[in-house]
Amino acid sequence: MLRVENLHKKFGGKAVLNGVSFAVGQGETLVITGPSGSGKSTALRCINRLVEPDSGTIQVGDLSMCELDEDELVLARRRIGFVFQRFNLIRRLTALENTALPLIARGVGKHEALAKAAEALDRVGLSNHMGKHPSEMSGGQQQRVGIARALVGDPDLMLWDEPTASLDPILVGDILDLMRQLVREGGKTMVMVTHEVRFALEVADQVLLLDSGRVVEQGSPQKVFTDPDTALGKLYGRLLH
Amino acid sequence: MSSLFAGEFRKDIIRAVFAAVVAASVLASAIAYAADMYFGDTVSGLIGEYGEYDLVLMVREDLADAALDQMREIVRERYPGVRLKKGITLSGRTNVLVGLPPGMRNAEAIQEFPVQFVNVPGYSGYGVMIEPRIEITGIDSEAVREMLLRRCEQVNGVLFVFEHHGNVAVVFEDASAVDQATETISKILESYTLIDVRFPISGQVDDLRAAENELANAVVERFGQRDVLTSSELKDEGMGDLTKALAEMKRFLTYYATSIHIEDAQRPLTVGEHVVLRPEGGQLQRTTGQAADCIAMVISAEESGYRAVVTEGDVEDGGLYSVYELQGTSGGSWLGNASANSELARLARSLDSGIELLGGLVDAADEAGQSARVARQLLADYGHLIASLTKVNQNVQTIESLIDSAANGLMYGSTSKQLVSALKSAKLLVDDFRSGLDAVSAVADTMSSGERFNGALERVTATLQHWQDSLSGYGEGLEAIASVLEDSGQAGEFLSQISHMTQAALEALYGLDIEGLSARLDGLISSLDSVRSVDTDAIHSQLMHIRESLPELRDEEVGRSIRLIDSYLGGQVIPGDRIQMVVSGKIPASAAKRMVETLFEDYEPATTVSSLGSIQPGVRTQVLRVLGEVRSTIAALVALVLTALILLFDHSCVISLLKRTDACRCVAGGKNVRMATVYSAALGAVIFSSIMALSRASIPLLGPTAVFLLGAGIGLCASLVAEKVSPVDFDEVMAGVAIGLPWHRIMRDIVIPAGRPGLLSALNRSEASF
Repeated sequence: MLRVENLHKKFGGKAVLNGVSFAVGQGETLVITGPSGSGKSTALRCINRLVEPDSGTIQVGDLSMCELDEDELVLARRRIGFVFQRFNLIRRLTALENTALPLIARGVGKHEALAKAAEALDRVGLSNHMGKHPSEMSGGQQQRVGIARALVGDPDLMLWDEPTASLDPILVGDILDLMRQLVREGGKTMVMVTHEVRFALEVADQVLLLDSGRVVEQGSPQKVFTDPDTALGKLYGRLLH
Repeated sequence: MSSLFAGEFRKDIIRAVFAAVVAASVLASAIAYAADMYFGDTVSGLIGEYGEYDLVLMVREDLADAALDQMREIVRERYPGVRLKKGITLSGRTNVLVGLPPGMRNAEAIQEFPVQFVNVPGYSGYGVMIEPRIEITGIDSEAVREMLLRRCEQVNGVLFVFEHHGNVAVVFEDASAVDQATETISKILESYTLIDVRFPISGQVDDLRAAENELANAVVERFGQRDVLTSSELKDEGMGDLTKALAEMKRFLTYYATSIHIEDAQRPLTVGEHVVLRPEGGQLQRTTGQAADCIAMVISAEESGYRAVVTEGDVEDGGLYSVYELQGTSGGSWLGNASANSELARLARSLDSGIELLGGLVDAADEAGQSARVARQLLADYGHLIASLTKVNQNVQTIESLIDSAANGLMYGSTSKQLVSALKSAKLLVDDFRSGLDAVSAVADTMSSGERFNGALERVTATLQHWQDSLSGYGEGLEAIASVLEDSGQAGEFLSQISHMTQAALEALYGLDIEGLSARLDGLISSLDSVRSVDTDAIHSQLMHIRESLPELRDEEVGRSIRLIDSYLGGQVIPGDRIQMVVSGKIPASAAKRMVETLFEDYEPATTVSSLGSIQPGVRTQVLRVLGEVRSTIAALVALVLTALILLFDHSCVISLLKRTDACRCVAGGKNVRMATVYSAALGAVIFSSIMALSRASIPLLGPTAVFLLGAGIGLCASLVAEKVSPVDFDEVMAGVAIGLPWHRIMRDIVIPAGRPGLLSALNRSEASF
């Protein structure tokens, strides 16, 4: 479903990604972890080209992402759900409108879009908060809206960019539960950037450990966290204890 | 991102810009129109409607009512049909507007009508308001004016022409004829070239007429055969007189300013350098606030040193000074010696001496006249003196012979009787001789107390005086001779001396040019009489007046005055002779200037070459033109403000988004330029230029290109503050991108709704998804 090969990216001359490669099968869940500044989020954003890679190939399904023109890229992004660390909701819109917006973008009628958005919000437990604006909701609720917005278009690929990083610890569990639920429901290929090692061990089909823009550990969660090849892997393995 | 302006959003932008430009143009026009109406109404209220009045008579404000009554009376009697209306009062003068009936709308009536009111109390001039009219100004020559009057009168559409305050006023038949006729008159003016040559006061030509002819010939020779009309006049007036007076004043002050001559300078001094002057023998002091030192400025370098004028303090005429460098406000190292020379002080002293001398002049003349008269009397007594001396001489000779006889008698035994007889005779003669001496002595006394101015008389006087001195007491000698008859040889010798001296006096008197002396004395007396007839009181008074009117200026004040005059004269050409030449046809200005400069290169004249006069519209036309400019300028200001508002309220969010997207660059002029900069400048230029064009706005001195650039500048300014006015939440934009919204939808659904409310925002409401 997703194949990334030899991905490179520099910001201002500094290499952030240095030959990152990985592949995720249909319905699988990949967790990318690593220290801050290791290039996790950049690698994730390169997949839907929110960040333009300098070189490398990204294959999403039958789409070669790096070769798409702007219009094609817009269409391709509609097939990819993206959950932001800071929710990135549109403040002037309600939870329902925020959730319906991807459908509107696809040309779905307003009523139908709102109906499907309501279903999505119900799915994430926000049926009672549909008319609220982001400023009227808690961080957890806002992230649920963000997840509903990513799911509403029924994407083939879900990208999660540290969805719990901006949440109070009390709310983190709720979001992780929702994510577990979505993984269990299956059918969707997911790539998650997170520091939650236990969660990764629990839900991931494979784990990618990045350090300074390079893949230092890659494989099943058990392999990466219990039998790591590198010191960083061992350090992450200790976090399980 | 590059598709932002390629799709639907480009239409949104164009639609918003178009709507904003139309709305702004209407608003700018409306505001300008309102201003125009307001000012137009004000003008009509002040000077009447177009064509309503033809003349304006001005009277003193305090006499306005009485004057208006009298004017109405005059009009009623002499000019039925003429309308008078009291207008506004400005600067103490009340305007009386005059409307002439159609029959009086001609040159004669326009020029003669105001003359009828010159005797009205408070009348203080008139102005012409008749319309439609233009005036040709800048014509100094009467001949040129006459020529233009003739030619303009023949132009189609011209009703009549007349001279007005040195200008040529052209009145048109109606408003529709103005443009065409003005264009024709303009062509007439352009068909001539005016060469104006002004000679500086220091470069006057000897024969202005000859110079005129020389220039006319040079013009024909250089530019071919053509009509040449010249008019020359001597000097200029008005400000020229002031300039000349100042130049003369400067010359006077410079001549009488205390001149400092610096010698033995230890180093070269520069013109304009300030130095400290200290009296020789004094101690060096601070310059400021110290009376002993003063400051001078070097004004020229001469062979023998430097010349300077005092700029601070005062120096003494003839004083010797040490010169020091001026360092800050103190004297520095010694530079040399200087002497002060004040012509003004010397003039004052000379005047004082003259005034004192004049006071004793009359008395001296009186005394000299009296002496001359005495001398004249002496010459009149000349014959009597000769006779007295001749008699004296004869007596001396007789006494001499008697004494000889007495001596011989004693020697040869003559009788005592004969001897006594001889001595008695001698005694009588001596008495007679003494009385003759008294007469001569009186004349000699007169001469000694009289005039000794004449060398010839003085010589005679001296001889007589010596003779008299020798004889005094000689009578007593004779008596002793008579009594003792001793030493007769000594007496004879003495008498011989007297006889010799008398003879010498007689010869001297005979040698005098009595007639010549008389004539010269008469002349002297006449001259002295003339001196007495002079009005010495008047001369004394005038000398005193000059003395009192000498400038009571300290040296530093004189120096300051010279610098002040210099600063005024710095930009002035001191007027001198002037040649104005009107030449038919166009002549290249630069070539004509070169020709004049070559022809009169010794005089360094200032030359201007221009067309003949300039056309000035009538008062109302000028006022309306000014109001039109005000209207268009107001519209321009409104356009400028509205452009800025449109950019800030409608487009700052777009600009903010473009600025946040670093990758959003375009190639302009071969350089990689941020899209935000291009967008801001282009949009500002288009919006501002369009509003300016649609609202018929204009800014004085700014053409379309400048307006375009000004609009671009406004756009760039808006770009600078866009992110503060309409910050864009880039997280929301990223969300839109991530969920697959195309850029136009991102703009419609995220960016524009979050921006400032404006026309773009209003138009976007129907396009936004929610």
